[in-house]
Amino acid sequence: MTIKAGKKSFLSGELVFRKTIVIAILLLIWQVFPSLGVINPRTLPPLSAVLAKLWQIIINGELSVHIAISLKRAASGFAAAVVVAVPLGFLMVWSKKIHQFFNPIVQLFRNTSSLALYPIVLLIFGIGETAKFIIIFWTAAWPLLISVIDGVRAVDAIYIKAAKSMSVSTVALFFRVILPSTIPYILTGLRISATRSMVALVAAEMLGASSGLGYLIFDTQNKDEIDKMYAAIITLISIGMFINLGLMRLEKSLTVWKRSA
Amino acid sequence: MTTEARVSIFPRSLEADKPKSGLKLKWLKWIGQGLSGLFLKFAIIFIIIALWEIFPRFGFIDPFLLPPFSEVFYNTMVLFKTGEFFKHFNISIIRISCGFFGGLCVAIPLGIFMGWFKTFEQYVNPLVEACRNSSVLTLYPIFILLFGIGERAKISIIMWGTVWVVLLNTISGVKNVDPSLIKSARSMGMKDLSLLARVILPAATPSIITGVRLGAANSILILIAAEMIGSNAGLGFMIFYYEARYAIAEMYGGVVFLAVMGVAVNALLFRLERRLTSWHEKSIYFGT
Repeated sequence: MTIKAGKKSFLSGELVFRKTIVIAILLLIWQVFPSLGVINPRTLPPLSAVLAKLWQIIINGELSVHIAISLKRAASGFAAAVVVAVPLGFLMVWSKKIHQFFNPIVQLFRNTSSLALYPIVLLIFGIGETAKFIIIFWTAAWPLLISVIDGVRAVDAIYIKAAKSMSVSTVALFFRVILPSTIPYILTGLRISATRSMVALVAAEMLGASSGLGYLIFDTQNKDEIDKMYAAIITLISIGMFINLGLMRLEKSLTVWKRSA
Repeated sequence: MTTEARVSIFPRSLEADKPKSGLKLKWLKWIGQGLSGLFLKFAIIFIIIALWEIFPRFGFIDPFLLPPFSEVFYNTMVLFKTGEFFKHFNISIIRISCGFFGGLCVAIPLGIFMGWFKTFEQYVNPLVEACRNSSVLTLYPIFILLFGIGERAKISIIMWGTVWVVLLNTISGVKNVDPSLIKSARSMGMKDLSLLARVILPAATPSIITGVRLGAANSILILIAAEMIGSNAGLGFMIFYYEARYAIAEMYGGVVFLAVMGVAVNALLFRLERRLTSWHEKSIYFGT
């Protein structure tokens, strides 16, 4: 690739082609096959019908209501997880003893599928917003906590020794050395958390909710409004992708020092 | 002086002179140390179990919401004995192993192929990324629509949840093999197939295993979700079923079992990772 650097504009055109062609072909198949009856249009309506339905529910405001509720749930749970898990992660690796003390429970909970705990949450908090908040919070918190712990433990000991030999205070050591080198890990954790909390959100909305995108998808499936179901699925997937893309951008801009080094 | 010299020259004979009970005591001491070490290591687990027993017993927590640990343990043992537990367990195991291993069988060969033929990979990569980034449960209704509420929908959604993570990790593992390894193997006249088996696959193993671990975690999550949503058997169903019937102790038993299962699977895969990548560690210690 480096040899062809002179033909960059041509290359980027080819790259765009390569990146989009397969998806474009799939979308074409989605449009043509159901229209021709190769695929039963009741299982998979043609793309145009789905997009028309999507436009319709955007216009009449039905979609935005569900989006708003879902985003509110996901954002509150996720934000609470960030606020709690990141400082807690730093506290847990403050000393070797604290880390060893809490490690078994962290290992236990990180490997426990959060959905398995959903019945307990429902039992304690009832079917409502609190239960959904708790389950999203719980799902999002563990990957974050783990990534903070891993990040701090991966800090090169030489940096810490060098800083200490220059008699840097503990606070400065934390903010100038440990935090910056942990940030890539935290951001990876954020992305994992975001993905997982979307799964938890959909699951929570499918099991006992009367609003939200997860509810919309399952409700329309039950009512046999298949094109609306696909429209809702497209919406939810695009939201997930936008969040992921945004976090990747953030990752790149926050870790500039790492690439330039 | 003389005694010191004797100690340093014949330490073994002096040891043998000691009475045998001392040796026994030493063993006991070791066992005691081992036990207390174990206790210290898992202290927090014991503390939580103790609190779980004490708080509901003394009414700090409503025993209806959280029955004491002993009660949960006893009721779970009853479930084990009557075999009701294993009915659900077997079904879940069949579903997850079909989905998970099926996913591995598709993803690893395909990933090696795509990592090898980079042009092909460039074309397909956006699709793989899109599939991996779309939340799995969102697609579950489509799977139900296609396959009906049955085993096929559940197995295929678990497969879906496994495939993309493993595929992406396999591709990146194969693509990021140190080129100097490939070049040196080629310069020694290695053929494509043995290059793949002897160089590329071992070098890609750590990345593949990471994918497998992530895939395993995903597949357990999806299994439970799929069993909660439209099912009449399986561990995920079992938990919800007991909750709905207010058999709270049994519900907690199921949750604890799932937690332990998650830890066990992860530990197993961690072992596998260490074993399969043992060559990696050796190469680090080599020469030091």
